[in-house]
Amino acid sequence: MPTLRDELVSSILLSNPRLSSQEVSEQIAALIEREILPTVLSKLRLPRLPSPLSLKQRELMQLRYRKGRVTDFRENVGFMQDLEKLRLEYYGSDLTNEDYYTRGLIGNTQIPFHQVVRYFKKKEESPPEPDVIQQKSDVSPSLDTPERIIRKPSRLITFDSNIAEKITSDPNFEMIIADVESKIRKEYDRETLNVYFSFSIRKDIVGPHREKTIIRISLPDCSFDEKMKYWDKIDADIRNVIKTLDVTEPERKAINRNLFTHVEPS
Amino acid sequence: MFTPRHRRFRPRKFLKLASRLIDDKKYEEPSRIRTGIGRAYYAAHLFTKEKMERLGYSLPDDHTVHQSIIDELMDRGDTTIGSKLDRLLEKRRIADYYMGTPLYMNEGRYCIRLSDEVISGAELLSPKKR
Repeated sequence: MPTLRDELVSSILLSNPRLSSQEVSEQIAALIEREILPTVLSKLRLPRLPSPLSLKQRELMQLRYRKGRVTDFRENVGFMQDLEKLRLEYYGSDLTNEDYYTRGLIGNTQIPFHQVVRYFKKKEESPPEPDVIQQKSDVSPSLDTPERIIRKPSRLITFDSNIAEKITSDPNFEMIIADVESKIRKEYDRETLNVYFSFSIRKDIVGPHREKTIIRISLPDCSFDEKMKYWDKIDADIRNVIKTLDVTEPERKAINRNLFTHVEPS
Repeated sequence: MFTPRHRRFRPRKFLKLASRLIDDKKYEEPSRIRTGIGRAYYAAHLFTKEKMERLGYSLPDDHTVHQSIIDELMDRGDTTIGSKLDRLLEKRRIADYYMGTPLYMNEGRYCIRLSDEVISGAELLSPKKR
């Protein structure tokens, strides 16, 4: 029985006799990839993945089950991760839960989620050598025995209590900080760069009603010159975010005036 | 009273003093760190102030001048220089007023180099951005 694609190919061939069925077929596939697949992927609602803790529990429970009851839940998780990777390829890294889907999940139950650990089984899958290779941490044995562990820097961004309070009480301020945070995560959340950002609010001594937002940047492994280069780059990145905010010019000026980047001495 | 430019005290001399003083073991370490940070800040502040005045900025003649210079830098888009000067100002306040907050040698040296960075940046300020 001819498939829908076969019917489509033959009707296109009728009006384009110079083309081969192979060429028509390839063009249809390209059209689907280009026009339809991205929309489908963007609208696709992936089921909620279980927490790393419950995954680990299920993993351990399965060791006790008879063969017939064992379900390969890792396959489902892997499938969802693949789908999410595809989405990222089309839409970049602004999707929510990106880390959760695209980084290794199974066997990470002993490690807080912000300190995600990647496991590699085969040498050819490994990324380039990290600056510091950490020792295998003391975690429960997982199904995939890790050969080595690359630990991401923990706490890339922290907020002090004053700024956290302002974020919850001021929606406009929240919007600014969210955009800046998103940019920082996109540009600087790298395993090879040891950088930490700390957001805080400082009251001005001269004008006590004025509040300054300070983004303190710590680059413990960098020399003074490298710090200055990063300072310039990070500041420029943040100002570019401010340029794109949907605010009036006087508001933009006030935001720039009260937002400072400070690089810390080591 | 008008003083010809060649007879005026040059703010860079504060920076030179700071970098010599911070390594001068004749003096107790915490004192030279705090004094060094203060002089490093004033070198950057005064140099930037003079430069901005030459560019036509009208700056206040009281204690608000410190923040005014930083605000003007931020407004004209020289935010990295503004942030660096703000960082130095913050350290200078700690050095001069907060005796309970310890300051270490690395912070002193850092401020001296930062002051040099601000001066280099301020040297390149042009009037066109205004």
